Amino acid sequence: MTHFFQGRHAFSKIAAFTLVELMMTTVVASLIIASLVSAAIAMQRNLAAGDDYATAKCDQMRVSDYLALDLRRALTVTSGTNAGTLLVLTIPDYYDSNKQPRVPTISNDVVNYGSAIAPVTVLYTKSGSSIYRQEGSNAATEIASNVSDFQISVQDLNKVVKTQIIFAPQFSRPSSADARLATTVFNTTLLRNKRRDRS
Amino acid sequence: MKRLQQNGASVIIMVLITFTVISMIVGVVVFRTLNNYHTLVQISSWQEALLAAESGNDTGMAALRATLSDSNNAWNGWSTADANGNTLANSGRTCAVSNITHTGEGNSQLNATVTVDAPAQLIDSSGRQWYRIRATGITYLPGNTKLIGPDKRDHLLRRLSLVWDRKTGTRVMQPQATRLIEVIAQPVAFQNALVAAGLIQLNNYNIVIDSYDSRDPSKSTNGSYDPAKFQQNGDVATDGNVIDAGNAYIYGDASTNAGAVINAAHVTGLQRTDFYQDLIPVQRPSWTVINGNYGDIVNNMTLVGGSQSNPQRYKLSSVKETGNNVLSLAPSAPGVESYVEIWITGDMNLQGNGEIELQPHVHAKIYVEGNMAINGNGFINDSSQAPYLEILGVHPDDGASRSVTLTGNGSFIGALYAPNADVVLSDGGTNGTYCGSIVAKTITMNNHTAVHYDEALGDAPFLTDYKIASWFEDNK
Repeated sequence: MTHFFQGRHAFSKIAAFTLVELMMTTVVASLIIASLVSAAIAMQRNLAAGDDYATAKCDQMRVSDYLALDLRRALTVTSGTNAGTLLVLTIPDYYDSNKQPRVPTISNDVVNYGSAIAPVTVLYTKSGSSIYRQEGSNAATEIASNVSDFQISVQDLNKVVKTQIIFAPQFSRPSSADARLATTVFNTTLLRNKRRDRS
Repeated sequence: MKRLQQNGASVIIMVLITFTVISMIVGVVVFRTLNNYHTLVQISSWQEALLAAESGNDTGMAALRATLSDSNNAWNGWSTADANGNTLANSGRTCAVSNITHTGEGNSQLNATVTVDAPAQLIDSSGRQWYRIRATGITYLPGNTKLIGPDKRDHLLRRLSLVWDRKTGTRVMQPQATRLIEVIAQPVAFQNALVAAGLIQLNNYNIVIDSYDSRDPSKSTNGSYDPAKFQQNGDVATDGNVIDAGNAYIYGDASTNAGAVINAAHVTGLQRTDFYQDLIPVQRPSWTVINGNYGDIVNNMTLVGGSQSNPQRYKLSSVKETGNNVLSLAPSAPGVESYVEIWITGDMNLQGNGEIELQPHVHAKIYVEGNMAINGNGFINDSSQAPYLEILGVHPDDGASRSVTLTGNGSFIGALYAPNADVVLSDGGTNGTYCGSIVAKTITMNNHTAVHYDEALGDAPFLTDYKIASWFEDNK
C-alpha cells in the first residue's frame, strides 16, 4: 500500500493538469500572446511612424537649410520659369580653380569674386516628388523627397524671399489635404547681398 | 523525472530565444532612435554655429566702427598674430569671441573666432581701404559623439568636424559643427541728403531736396549744382518714426524707422519704413602735434594747410567773426592741394559780413564742440566742391544737444556730421541753399531753403561708418 500510494503520488506530479486546466491555460496563453502580438505590431507601427516623421523632418530641415544658405549669399534670385524649375539664383564665384577662397576686388563700389559677369548659378528643380539642387556645372543632387508642392514669393523690393514647401506625409492614414498642409515648411530669408542700405 | 528534465531544458531555450528576439527588437529601436536623435542635434548645432559666426562678424564690424569713434581702444583684445605666433597677413587682427552659453538639451555653448584684414585688392578707386572679416562659429556636438547621421544628403550640406577639422585638417578636441562667414566691410561717407536720429521737419512746400554730382559734367556745371541737371537721389532718412515732408519737393526716397512720412505729396522716390543707421558719435581729436592754441578768433586771420599725409592742425577756443573779419584757410602754396584740420572747443559764430573762407585747393576738416550759427554767406567754399569741407559736431560730455543754424540768403557748400545737434535751415530771404549733406539729431527746414545732395560725398574720404557690402558663407 505504501508503495501503491507512493506510485500514485509520483504519477499525479507528472499529470497535474486536467482538461479544464489545459483549456484555461490555453485561453489565458492565447490572450497573452494576442496582447503581445498586438503590442508588438503597435510598437512596430509607432517606430515606423516615428522614423518616417524624423525622416520627413530631416528632409524639411535640409531643404530649408539649403534654401537659407543659398538665399543669404545670393546676388540675384529668380522664380522658376517653367514647371520643373523652382528657383534660379546666382552666388559669388567664391572659389578659384583649386577650390580655394578668392580675395575679392572692388569695382564701382561692388565686391567681385572672380569675374564680375560670371557668378555661379544655383538651380532648384522638382522632378516627381523630389527637389534637386545644382550648383554651377556640378551634377544635380536630390535634397528632399516626398515633396507635394513648392511655392516662392519675392517680397520687399526683391530683398526678402519667402518659400513654402508642402510635403506628402508618408505615415498618414488617410493622407488628407489637412494632413499635407500640416507639413508645410515656411522659410523667410533676407538677401544679405541686397541690403536696404545698398542701392 | 527524465521527462521533467526535458521540459525544463525547453523552457530555458524558449526563454533565451524570446530574450534574444526582444533584445534585438529593443536594439533596433534604440539604434534608430539614437540615429534620429543625433541627426536632429547635429542639425540644431549646425544652425547655432551660424549664430556664432554672425556674432563674430558683428564683433569685427563693431571694432571697425570703433576705429571711427575711439581709435585708441578699438582693437583692445585683438592680436596681430595667429595661434602659432605668426604675424597675420594683410595687417590682419584676430580675436576669440567670449563663449556664449545657454541651457537646454543639445549643444549649449557657442564659440567664434574672427579675423579682420585689409588686402591690397580691397582698395577702391577713391583710395579707401575696404576690410575683409572672416568669422568662424563653433558649436560642440552633445554627448561627444562621433556618430554621423545615416542620410548622406545631410553630409553634403552640414559638414561636421567629428575627428578632423574640415578646414585646417588638424585633430579637433571635441566633435563640432563650424560655419565660416566672410563679410566685406565698405567704408561709407555721406549716403543721403539728410539723415537724422529724430524728427525731420520740412515746414514749407517751396523747400527742395534733390541731388547732383560734382564729379560728373552731365550732373553738374563746373562742379556746382545746376538746376537744369538735377538728380533724384536726394534721399531723406530718419532713425525716428516721423518725417514731416510738409509737401516739400523731395526728389529721392524718404525712409523712417517703422514710422511714417506725412504730407508726402511731392516725394518722388520710395517711402520706406525699414531705415536705421547707428550714428557714431564724434570724439575729440587726440592729436599729438598741434600748431598751437589760438584762443578766440574774432579778427582777420589765416591758417595755412599742409600735405595730405601731414595736415596742419590748429586748436581754437572759438570763432566769432563779425563785421568784415575773415578767417582764411589757405593752401601751403598757391594751387597746391592742402589739408587743414581745426578743432574749435567752443562755438563757431559767423554773423554780418564776418566769414570763414575756404580758399581753392584747401581741404578742411573742422571739429566743433559748441554751437554753430552761420548767417548768409558766412562760410565761403571757394572750390564750390562739397567734399572739400567737412564739419564735425563733437559729442558733448554732458550729452546735451548742440544747435546748428544756417540763416540768410547765402549758400553753404560742405558736409555736416553732427549727431548731437539740432539743425535748423531757416532762410530769412528767398535763396538759402545748402549743397552737400547733413547728418544730425533733428533737422528742421523753413521757408525757401534747399538742400542739394552732392553724390560725390558718397565716395569722399570722410568716413562716417562701415557697412556690409558683401556676405558669403564658405560651405566647402
